[in-house]
Amino acid sequence: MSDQLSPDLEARLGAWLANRAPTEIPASFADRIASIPRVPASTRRPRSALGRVTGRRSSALLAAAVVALALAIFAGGLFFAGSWRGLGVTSVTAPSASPSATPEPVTPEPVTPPPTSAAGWPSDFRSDGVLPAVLADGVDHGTFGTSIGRVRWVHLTGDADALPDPLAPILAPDGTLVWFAGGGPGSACYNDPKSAACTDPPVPRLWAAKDALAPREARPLPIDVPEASLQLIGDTFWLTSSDPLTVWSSPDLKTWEQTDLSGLRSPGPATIDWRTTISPFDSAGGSAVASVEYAAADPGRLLGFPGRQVNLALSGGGYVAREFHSRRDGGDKDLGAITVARTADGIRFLGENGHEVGRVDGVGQEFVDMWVRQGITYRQLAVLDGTRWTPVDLPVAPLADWPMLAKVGDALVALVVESDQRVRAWRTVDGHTWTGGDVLVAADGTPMRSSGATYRDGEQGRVLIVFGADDSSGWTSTDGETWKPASFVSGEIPPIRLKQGWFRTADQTPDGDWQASSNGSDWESVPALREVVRKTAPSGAGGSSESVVGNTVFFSVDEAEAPFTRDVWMIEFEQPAP
Amino acid sequence: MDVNDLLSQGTVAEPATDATDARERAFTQFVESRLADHYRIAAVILGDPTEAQDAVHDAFERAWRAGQTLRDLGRFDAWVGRILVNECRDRLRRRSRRPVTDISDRISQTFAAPDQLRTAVDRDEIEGAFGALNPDQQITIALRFYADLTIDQIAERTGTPVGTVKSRLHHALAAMNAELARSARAGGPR
Repeated sequence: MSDQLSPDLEARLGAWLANRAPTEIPASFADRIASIPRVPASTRRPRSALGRVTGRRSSALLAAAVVALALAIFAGGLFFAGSWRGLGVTSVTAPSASPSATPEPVTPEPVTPPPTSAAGWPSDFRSDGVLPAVLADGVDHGTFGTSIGRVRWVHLTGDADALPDPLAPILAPDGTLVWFAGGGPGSACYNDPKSAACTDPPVPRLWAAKDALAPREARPLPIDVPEASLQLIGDTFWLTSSDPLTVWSSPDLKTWEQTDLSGLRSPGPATIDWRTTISPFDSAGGSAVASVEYAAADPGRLLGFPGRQVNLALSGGGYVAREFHSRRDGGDKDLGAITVARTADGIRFLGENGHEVGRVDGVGQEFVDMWVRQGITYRQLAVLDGTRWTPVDLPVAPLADWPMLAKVGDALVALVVESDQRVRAWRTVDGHTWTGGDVLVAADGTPMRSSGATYRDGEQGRVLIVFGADDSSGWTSTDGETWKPASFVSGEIPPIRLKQGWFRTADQTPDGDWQASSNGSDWESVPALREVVRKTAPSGAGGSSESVVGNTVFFSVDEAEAPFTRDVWMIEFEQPAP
Repeated sequence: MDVNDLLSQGTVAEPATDATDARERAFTQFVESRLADHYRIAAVILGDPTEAQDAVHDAFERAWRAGQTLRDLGRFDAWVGRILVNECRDRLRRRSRRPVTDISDRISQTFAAPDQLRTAVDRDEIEGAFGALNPDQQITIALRFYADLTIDQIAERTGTPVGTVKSRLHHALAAMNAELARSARAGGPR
């Protein structure tokens, strides 16, 4: 499904939201608020809504966390997680009795650590090394059992103001935790590039640590760019930068090899300048496969407005040149009517005076339709031949979904939902040769109709899912070739996948229980988790996040008001028995 | 003189004996100048003016009680905004205890389908699609398309990483498209 709104629909959504906003402020409400400073809590007038309860994380946060995760750890009153700090701290420091720098602790709810296990961690605990085998004195920790194995946990607390932005670590094959700390937009160093955390040593940096509590170490970067992404696919690390566009591979984060992108060409018209992005996805038969996107760098040029955020849009049965403006600035502005003329050579764009303002040869109406709907964007797959990327152009219909890619066994499967909801599937075992492409049909021979596809990792391995048009039924496949009908539970929220089973947080269950399951369908309560993870949302301003690194689940909660704490719980499930 | 200057006066510039009065004056002026905006965004997020009043009340009260310990009074308004968003989130999450269909995950692996929102001319359909989102997605949509905040500003307001905001926005829009498509197939909002 598209994650883009047309300007017209954005306006509709904005109008609908604006209609929810009251036009007037009731005088009684204003009086009630204005009286806050003078009315003690015990005597203030009763409110009309429910009382406060502890907030909970949402399922979507979980879903997002699995993809892009956020984790931040920091120093704490008990122990210093130097490995995670983006602040230049690389060593363990002594505990601090009062981690918060707030001079006047005020509001209640000081963070009190949960009971510490008197016993040490079991020496036979099977770990992937995310948590260390030996803890420093004073670290709040413990163990308990679940139906899917033993758990050991660590709780850290400290001053969130002194902590870096959340990081997304990768568990390397050798057990090392690695992450890229950049200085691009969105990072702490983008807003405060001269802070010590960003200059000593300077970002960007590639960091590694032997576990979640160990000091970090810098690793060499092959290119000095503020923004990049680090991925681990199989046993190979991939570092991708967008400006300039580069893709590097490394087996060990010590030596890097740059790949050759010169073979990539947009499937779109050659006369258009393209902005290219590439995302290594997975490998098949030892060959890396990537998704490549080409977006027109200056679409406004084709309409006579070079360098401006202008695109072709539909309006009143015709076309207009529409310039993007935020709603705060009055919304998008139509700069004038555009006549689209189809000729033997291609498409001509004519201004209001009838003169040609732009042209694209070798295309037809499908180019215009695509532009109006999703911008001038083309996509393709690419496979790595040695060190050179080679394009793979699947014969996907112009207005179809971009393929959903999934690794199934040794094969890569690309599922495409076309604009008429028909589904096609391609499969490759080497990245170069893709087979299939026929419209998928159901058991009765009729074409499958779908609105989307995804996959889940179940007890029997990876399952591809094509949702049917009725939402409650569809088809599943374990190889991308044979499909069988299936029904789905509407509203199902996927649990956290662990190596030996599944795990659900309190906000994923109907009764707010923490649960574990060995098969994903039969669940058992884990009351110890509620006792260990004392809160999952800030009391006031702040935020929370959760992530899975290896077989360890991280929860972090920031309080953005006094006492300005951050709490991090690391819940490590034992590795399955060999 | 803006509200932050006034607040600063209350804790920094005036003698201790006058500080409380100054804070109250500053707070009153803050309420007068900023209450409407905060009330409206709460109402947009919650869709219930009465509950929005309660949310704003709780947020402002907490801001007042804890405000004297703020380390950076210059960001008082943004700070109140964050408290309010968290308050709204808590309230939405309590509501979400009742069964709802969460479709964000199932569309997470799909890309670029027809823009179903384009055909969603019925505001009831938009309401249905919005209502199918989870609390964080609703907040993200409201802050983006009503308050017109940038991704960075939403991250600041909600206290979440920029990447998380982008992800929430992506999932929210895709989920709305999916819900609208489903609604269109069913002949109306569910």
